[in-house]
Amino acid sequence: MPQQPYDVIVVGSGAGGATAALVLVDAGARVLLLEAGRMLTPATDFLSHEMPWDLRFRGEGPPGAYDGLWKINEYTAHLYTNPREDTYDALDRFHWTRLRAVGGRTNTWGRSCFRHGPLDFKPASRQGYGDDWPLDYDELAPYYDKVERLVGLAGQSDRYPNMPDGIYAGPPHPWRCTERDLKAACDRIGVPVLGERTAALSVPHDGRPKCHYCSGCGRGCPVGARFSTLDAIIPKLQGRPTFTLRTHAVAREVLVDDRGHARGVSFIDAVTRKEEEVHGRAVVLAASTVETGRLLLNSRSRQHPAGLANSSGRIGHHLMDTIKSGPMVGILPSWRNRPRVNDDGAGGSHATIPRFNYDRTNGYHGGYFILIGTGFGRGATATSGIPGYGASLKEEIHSRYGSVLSLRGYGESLSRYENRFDIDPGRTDAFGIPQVRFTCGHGDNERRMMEDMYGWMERILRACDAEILPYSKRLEPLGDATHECGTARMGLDAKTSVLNRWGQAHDVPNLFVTDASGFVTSPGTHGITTWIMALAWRASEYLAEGLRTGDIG
Amino acid sequence: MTTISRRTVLALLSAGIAHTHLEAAAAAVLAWRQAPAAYVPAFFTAAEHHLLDVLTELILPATPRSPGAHAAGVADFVDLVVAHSTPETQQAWRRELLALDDEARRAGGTHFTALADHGRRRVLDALSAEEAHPATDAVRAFVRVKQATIDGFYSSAIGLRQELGYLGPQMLAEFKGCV
Repeated sequence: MPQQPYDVIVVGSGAGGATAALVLVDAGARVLLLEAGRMLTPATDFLSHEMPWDLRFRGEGPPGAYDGLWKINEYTAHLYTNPREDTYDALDRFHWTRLRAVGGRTNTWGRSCFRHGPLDFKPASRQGYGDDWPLDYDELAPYYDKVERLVGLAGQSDRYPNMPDGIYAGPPHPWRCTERDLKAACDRIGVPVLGERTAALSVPHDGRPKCHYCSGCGRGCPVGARFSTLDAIIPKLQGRPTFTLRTHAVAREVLVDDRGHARGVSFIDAVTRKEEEVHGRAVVLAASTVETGRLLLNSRSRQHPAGLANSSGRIGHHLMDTIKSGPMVGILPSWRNRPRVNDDGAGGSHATIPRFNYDRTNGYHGGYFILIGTGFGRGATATSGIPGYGASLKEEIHSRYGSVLSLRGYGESLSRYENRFDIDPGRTDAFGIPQVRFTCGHGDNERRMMEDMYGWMERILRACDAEILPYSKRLEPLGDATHECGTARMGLDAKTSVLNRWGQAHDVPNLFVTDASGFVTSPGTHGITTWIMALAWRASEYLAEGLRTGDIG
Repeated sequence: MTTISRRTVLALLSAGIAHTHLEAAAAAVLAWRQAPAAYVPAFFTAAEHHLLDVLTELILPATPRSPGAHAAGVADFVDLVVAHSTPETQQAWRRELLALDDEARRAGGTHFTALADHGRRRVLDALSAEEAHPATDAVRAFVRVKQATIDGFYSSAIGLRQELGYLGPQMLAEFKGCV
């Protein structure tokens, strides 16, 4: 058999894929990293410092273009795949946010890095619902350590229940005055407020500069002060003889040999539109949860008629996302007409309200965070509902600016077989690749949790003496939090799960998945990126050892 | 738009560029910037655009702290947005603005823009009294223009920086938090 040029083909350069590539190359493997999108140039691709009037439509884009699509706007639309252009069924039930470029969604992520605790891995045996992960926190903790040393967190030890402290490169970003006020109010009603643990650097780290506090992180960081695989991993790989990055490579199918083992990947070059094949001893998929599942379902063969590694029939099922409530907004009288200060900070709030419902009697399973919006931002806040016009209207808006506290719940959604995607027989994408369709929605547990979220948000705003603006209780569609996961889940039983405890397919020993597809539960914290990376690191070490001994590939 | 930033000027000075040359360069840049072309509406007629301009300035007028919607070019921005809206939205704008002007003629005997200030206010006061429950196109026009004025004004430099006092984004060496 001729010598293959690559040991491993990795699909996707985001959190899961770039981490896998780094660990594998460091272990001596020859890696080809396929990325469907282009290389980005931070200085010109990230409009972090632009103001609304710098853009033709003041950041909103042409009317209707991005309404209701969180994260996609005039500043970022050139990075994302717009679901209104690359369509699927059904946008109203699942917001599918795709960023095809080197670094994937780590370019624009929310940067929260809370570890998932021992209880989060064992909901069935320790909390009485769902399924246990086939590994526990102690097994993953050393990999969280490795990931956090690479990522570089701003944070501090809190000793908070079931939220293990991490390794922090620098101190947390200091609180704004409004965040201190909120903490004082929450203390009175027994609600905890912690500092954010964020991947926006408070000290220089790993050759990257510290944050310069422009608050534009959500559009990408032009200097790499927030972690992305584009800034922090790809440069460690480029130029190494055992690493090849192929951009514009849109994976179509995982190819199999006579035994049904993975032998490579076929992809379409997005520029030439030509189909190509690449071969390796093993394949790692980290194309993002839905793309990985789609790729597996589209990889049908004689040996795998229902899609690759799908003897369980579970691929595409158990679709989860962090559930996200609508906002509750209060105006704090004591904050009106505050002297203006630069409140921008490290993008978003520096404080957060962690899951605080552990020892309460709840009518639902799982838990949630409440996220905070506060400060003098790049736009007028709470301008609706003010009667009249003229100088009085202008004065009221001036008075409200910076006096607003906005809260939103982010919580765990339960894994349910019926929440799923499958291949749509009637639709292909721009490359002719069969598209997915979504059949999913929120369940009773999510709705009960939502009621609890709104109850606590109201209690918190009342404790702040806020005037609460009219709101309606709602959950955003699944996918909106961009934490989709679970559709090729890990498990001990090959009949009910797709991957084993190493992220290795039960059916295909040389196929690994290192994105959030493998999640058994969704997080009751916000943020899943370092969870993905820790699992990817562990899986990749296992794969590298298998390649070395010849047990794999 | 080209501007010479303070940092650039300092860099030029430190590089030994003669002060007189700098002044000449800055004056040339300034002269170049001071000749903006008059905005030509892409959707609204000249009369509609004028009505819109007058309405937006009444809704968010110049006050001691900052200029108003007219100086911020709000009507121009609204025209751009409406020009890119659906035909249904465009028709609604046109129909409702016409209804508002009809209201002015009924109450004041002439076009809204031809009314004196107190006449304009009488019309807007009556429409504003109904804004929570709009039942006519004239009231809907008020609600629509008001929202568009807020959106356009506070996304302008005059609205966000001068009026609200937003101080960023700055490149800070340190973020001190609450001090």
